[in-house]
Amino acid sequence: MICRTLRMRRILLDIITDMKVSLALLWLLASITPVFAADSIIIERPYARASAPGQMIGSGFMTIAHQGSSEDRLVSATTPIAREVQIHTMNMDGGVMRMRPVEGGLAIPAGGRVVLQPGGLHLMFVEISAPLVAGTVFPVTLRFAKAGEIKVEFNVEARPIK
Amino acid sequence: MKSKGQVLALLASATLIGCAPPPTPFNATEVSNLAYGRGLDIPDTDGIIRRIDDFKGRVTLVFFGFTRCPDVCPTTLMRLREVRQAVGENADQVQVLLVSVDPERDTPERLGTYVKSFDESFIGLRPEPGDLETVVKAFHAIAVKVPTTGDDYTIDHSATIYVYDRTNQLRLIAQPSLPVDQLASDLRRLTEERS
Repeated sequence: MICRTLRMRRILLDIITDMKVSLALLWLLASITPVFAADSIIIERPYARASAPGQMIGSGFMTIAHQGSSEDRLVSATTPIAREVQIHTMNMDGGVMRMRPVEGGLAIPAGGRVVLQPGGLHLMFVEISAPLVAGTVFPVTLRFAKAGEIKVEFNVEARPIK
Repeated sequence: MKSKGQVLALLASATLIGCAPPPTPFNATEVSNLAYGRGLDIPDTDGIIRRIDDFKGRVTLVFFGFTRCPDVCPTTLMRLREVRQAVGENADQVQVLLVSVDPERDTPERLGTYVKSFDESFIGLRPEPGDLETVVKAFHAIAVKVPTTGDDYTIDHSATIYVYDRTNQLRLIAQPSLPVDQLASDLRRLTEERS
């Protein structure tokens, strides 16, 4: 019985140590995940897909968090690595892929978050000047109606499956 | 709550009917007697004229896309590579064909390198711009040019995958979101059918 209690305590201790390690890891991850902030707008984890050979476009994703008290809009974006950056929505409608430019800029509600992710909203880098290679980084300037310009570094990641 | 007697009766009837169980349905949507895409001649990226009937003895997958498609097309190509690998020892009997809906911008070279970068075995087909509508209609599919900014455009297009069996009959229509293992299992079954 004593033996069992000791073993339980040992297991508990192990779990606590594990938790400490994972917390430390989480903190470390959080501190190296790029976050770009203006006064009220925070850009989290901006990344682009590595392009396929022959592909003249790239797609970029990120989370835009807004802590201000009134709606803002992502109006446009530019990057030296592409002729143009377009803000797109994408959806599947009865087996048909439809992509549209977001008219009048992308609304970012006050206190809200807008997620650009595969299968939906994305930035499209049109006519990239060189292939987007996994592990590299390129700059993008985002222009918000109120927050103004925010300079962001996009990480190029290996093409995700999902 | 069923009584013991009812359960026994159910078991007995199941045993009686169960002699020849019906075949398990496929994961993708099964179709029959549809001549979609049959008899079409479309040049591949090397200029060789291809038609579905050329791939007798193989399970052929056809879908529409273009190299400027940011999301669905590259994702589908990556998934199809995985699907093909998951088919296992019959993988080399699975042929993937991507038909470009943007022949004006997808030059043969560009389309070729793009498609082969996902899997060497994949073939890109590039209809002449003037033939695109006929090709798309032959699959009862959709491809519509939509202007974006300036003279730039994107293309709304069907993202469904058409699966032909070893005798070149259209057998399955799969959505691109169908899980890899489910589509792979369907394809494995088709490769094991006698032609």
